[in-house]
Amino acid sequence: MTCEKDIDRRGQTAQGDEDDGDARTGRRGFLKDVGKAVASIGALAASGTALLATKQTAQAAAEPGPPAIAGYDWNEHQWGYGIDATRCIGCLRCVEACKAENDVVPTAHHFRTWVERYVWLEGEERPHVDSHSDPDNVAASGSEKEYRFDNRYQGKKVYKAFFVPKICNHCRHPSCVQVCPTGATFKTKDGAVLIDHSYCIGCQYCVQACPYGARFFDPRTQVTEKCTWCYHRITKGLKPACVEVCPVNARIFGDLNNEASDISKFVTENRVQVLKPETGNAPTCFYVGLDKEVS
Amino acid sequence: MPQHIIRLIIVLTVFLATALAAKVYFTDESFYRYGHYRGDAPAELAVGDPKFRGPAYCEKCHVDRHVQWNTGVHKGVKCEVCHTPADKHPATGKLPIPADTVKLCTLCHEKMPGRPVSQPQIVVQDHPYPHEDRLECITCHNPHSPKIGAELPAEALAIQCVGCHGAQGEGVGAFPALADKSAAYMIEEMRKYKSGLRQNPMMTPLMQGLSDRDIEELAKYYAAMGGKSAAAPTAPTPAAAAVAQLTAKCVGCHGAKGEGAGTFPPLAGKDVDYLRDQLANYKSGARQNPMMTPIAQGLSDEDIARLAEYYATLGAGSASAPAGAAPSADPATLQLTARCTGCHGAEGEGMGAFPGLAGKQTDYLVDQLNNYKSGVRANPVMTPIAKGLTGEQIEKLASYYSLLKSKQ
Amino acid sequence: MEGTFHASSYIGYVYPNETIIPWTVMIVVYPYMTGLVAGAFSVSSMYHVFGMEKFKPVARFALLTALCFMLFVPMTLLLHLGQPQRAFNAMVTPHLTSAFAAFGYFAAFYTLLLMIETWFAFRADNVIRARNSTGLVRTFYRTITLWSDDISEKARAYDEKWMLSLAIIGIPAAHGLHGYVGFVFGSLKAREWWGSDMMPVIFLFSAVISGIAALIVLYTLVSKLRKTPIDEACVRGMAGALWGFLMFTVLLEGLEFANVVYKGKEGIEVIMEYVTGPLFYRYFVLQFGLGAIVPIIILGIMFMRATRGKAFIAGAVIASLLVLMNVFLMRWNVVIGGQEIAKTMRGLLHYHDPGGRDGLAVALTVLACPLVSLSIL
Repeated sequence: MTCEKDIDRRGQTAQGDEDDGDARTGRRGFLKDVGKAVASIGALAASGTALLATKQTAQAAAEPGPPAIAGYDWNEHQWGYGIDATRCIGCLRCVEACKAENDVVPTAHHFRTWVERYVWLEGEERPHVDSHSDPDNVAASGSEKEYRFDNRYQGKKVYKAFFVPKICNHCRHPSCVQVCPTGATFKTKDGAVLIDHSYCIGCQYCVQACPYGARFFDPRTQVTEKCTWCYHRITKGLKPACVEVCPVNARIFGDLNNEASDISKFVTENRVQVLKPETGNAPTCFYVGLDKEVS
Repeated sequence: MPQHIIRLIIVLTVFLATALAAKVYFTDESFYRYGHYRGDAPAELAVGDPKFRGPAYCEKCHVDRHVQWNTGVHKGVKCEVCHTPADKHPATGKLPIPADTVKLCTLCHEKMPGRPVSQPQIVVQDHPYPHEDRLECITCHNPHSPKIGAELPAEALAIQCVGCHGAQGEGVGAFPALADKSAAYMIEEMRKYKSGLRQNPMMTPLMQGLSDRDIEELAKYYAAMGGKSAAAPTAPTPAAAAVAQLTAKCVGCHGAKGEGAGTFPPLAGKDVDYLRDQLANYKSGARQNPMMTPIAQGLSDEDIARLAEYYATLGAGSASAPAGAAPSADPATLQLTARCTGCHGAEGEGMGAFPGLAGKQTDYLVDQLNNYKSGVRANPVMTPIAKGLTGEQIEKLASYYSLLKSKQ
Repeated sequence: MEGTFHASSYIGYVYPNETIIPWTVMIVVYPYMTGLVAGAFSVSSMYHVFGMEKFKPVARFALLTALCFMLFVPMTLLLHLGQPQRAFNAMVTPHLTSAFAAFGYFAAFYTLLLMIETWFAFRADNVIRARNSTGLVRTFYRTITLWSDDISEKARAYDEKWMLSLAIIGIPAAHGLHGYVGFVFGSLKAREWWGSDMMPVIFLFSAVISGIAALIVLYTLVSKLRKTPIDEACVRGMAGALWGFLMFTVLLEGLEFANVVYKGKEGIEVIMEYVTGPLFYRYFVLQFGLGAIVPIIILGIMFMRATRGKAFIAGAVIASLLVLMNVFLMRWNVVIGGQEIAKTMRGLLHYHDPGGRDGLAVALTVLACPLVSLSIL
């Protein structure tokens, strides 16, 4: 048994990044080879029963069942997130809901999701950009634990303006996972990028590596934090809290495996974009209504 | 080879072997199961109770408010957006009713560059206030259905009243009649409840959910019923007044004489000790019930004793027997009827404008519910309720009511 | 319970989470120290491997310096980690796609190599010390010589052979270690200021110059303290190497900067605003001007005029001190500078020292530790 465990481990290590399908097949193939090798030796030495048993053990190791989440099989889902920036009204209920649902550090410096405001004034070339963590907006809301955009452009000649919600992009090729030295952050089979808080050493390399600024260091727990798509909700058939509370349906969540899901319709019926495609991170957070200046 | 080199090699070998053993020993058992991470981590991260429970959870108790909200333009704004996440409510206490509505409503409705034009927006300083002394949005707008001109008619608003004040505003038990009051008086009192000048656990939150326009409409509606009211309630003797005040909390559900109604058990004639114990259990939390627990917690031990004695002495005989003995129905069906009894009466006997259901033909009831569900019949109250029912539930409800004996 | 954190002030727009700069001065000191290790080891190898006799006086000293700094390198990282007690997770389950994961193994391997090589280098001395001492001191020296007092010709010849092989392995290991530190930064596509193919090379060359400069300073200092004569030829050799490598390093850094500016990709506005604003003084004036151009001129003039004696030593030490400052600033401007340019490419942050475990005071203490342990040894 120890021997097989060892083989399993080496098979994994050789694959390096085991998040994509190829690596899985490769690993399975490798284990089959090992299984065959073991089997042929076994055939020489022992009876056919022993051979069968060895084969079964090798196959069992190659196909672990899904994680023990009641009523949920991650093999059945491929989650995706959509943001229709043309609908966003900048009410920030999503930000408040996220903080409450996930007990996020209640300051203006720690967010799992946030909203940006882009405003071009007439005659100006570059937009004014701010988020609710801007000190003036914090002052307008009255505290760091409430969220509001102030009305600073009232009476000014505005050429163009819109809001853009931001959230972890749960990339297909997440650079945060790539750089994590321990394997404390990982991409699940159903598409979420999660952090194992009990395993994270708090080096913050992932915070550096994320091109989107989606990660932060939790000063209370001394480990890194980020959006989980409310993994405790989606595994119970609910939507993430930000999606649940959005009053204008600017945030969409669902199963990309299901053609009839909101997210599948969102992606197929619109021409969607992702943020910073040049990074090669391949986000699974899709946007409608971005602008050349949004990054 | 000199011995120091041999020894060095031994030291290094021991070190490497120890390091390797440590690596194997400290590697979590579930590591590498799905990839380069602890295989137990995903399941651990899926643990946790959602704090936002969604409108369906709120609807279980706040049926009338849910209907109002669900048929208005604020349908997209879920309950918990304004009332904070329900989480463990009601066990953990009440959820807040926003006090500063100007601050709350302008989060979405303040005119601001960047908001799409489809979003209704106001320039706060320029927005008209009919009541300059009370600068709250809910002065004019019903927060659950805020569109002016698309408010619910008084009849629909009144479904919140009939449960206690009777279908014709005639008053039930300790609940005063409304039909004999003047509109001006009722407006004044309702505003007092709303502002908190008068405090009452049932009236205050109800009134806070109404705009001034709603209050006026309701007052006019009941004032117009004047005279139609049944016998004016007799003024209770001072001695009985204390008990009457206490029973006010019970009669709405358990009937004016404690005879019970629908799923609500009768109280009259029950053993005095039994009644006292159950109330004490609700109070202490030994028995849990979203309706009874807060009521019992508001009672002193003397109140409980007095109530138990009162209902025990009423005697089963004195309680009027229910119009039709409820046919045995499974608990699920009884739970479904909670959506109906508010307007159609505990026994489906009908109230005021709301038709009776008891004794109607099963097929008729099924057809009508299906018509509401499909939209063939439209009604702001019935449509959303019917849409929330499955075909099976509709059949169960129809068969339940058809078996109840009609009063007529 | 909101925990303690240190938010930075900023101008323009930065992502909300960016207002807390993740990597502090500890991560400045970390590559600085590995650089000193790599540089010092290079000097030692010039004698041990390439047989440059003029470096013989500093060869063993360089080895010891490298070891002392290397022993404290992990300290910078441990102090920086949020959960230092879990640091070994990176070695128990190293994630091979991470540039950081290899560090534990790489550093452990290299530290071991350094220790063994130093052990060989000082073995004969320790055997003699063991022979000439009694009691606990004797037990101590007996233990570290592994209870062997064989310093026969044959044994010494074996030692020499082992040291040569270790030094040969050590050169790529030392440079690999440091080049890899450059890769830690250079491989991050999220930061425009870091994500450059030249980064490992620049790190490597600046490491070599910092190591040589540190040795020039330490060697003269130790000689003064021990009142032993300074081998001028040796210092001249080191100064020459410093001069050459310094010019090369400046050239590389200049090219790197020119590349960024010339390509003028998205976000160049904010980079220009940064280098001409907050960075101007500590980048152009201090790092390039005072830290690189001035030492090049000092050394150049001294070599041209064939300056000798005390004047040369003094000039070399001054130039070396400037180079040490240059390299520290280069680390600072890369590590802190990279984080001061927001990922939004629309804003600049201003780093404040967070104090405490992650602060400047502790970092300087860690930086002083090798010097203290070096003086004890």
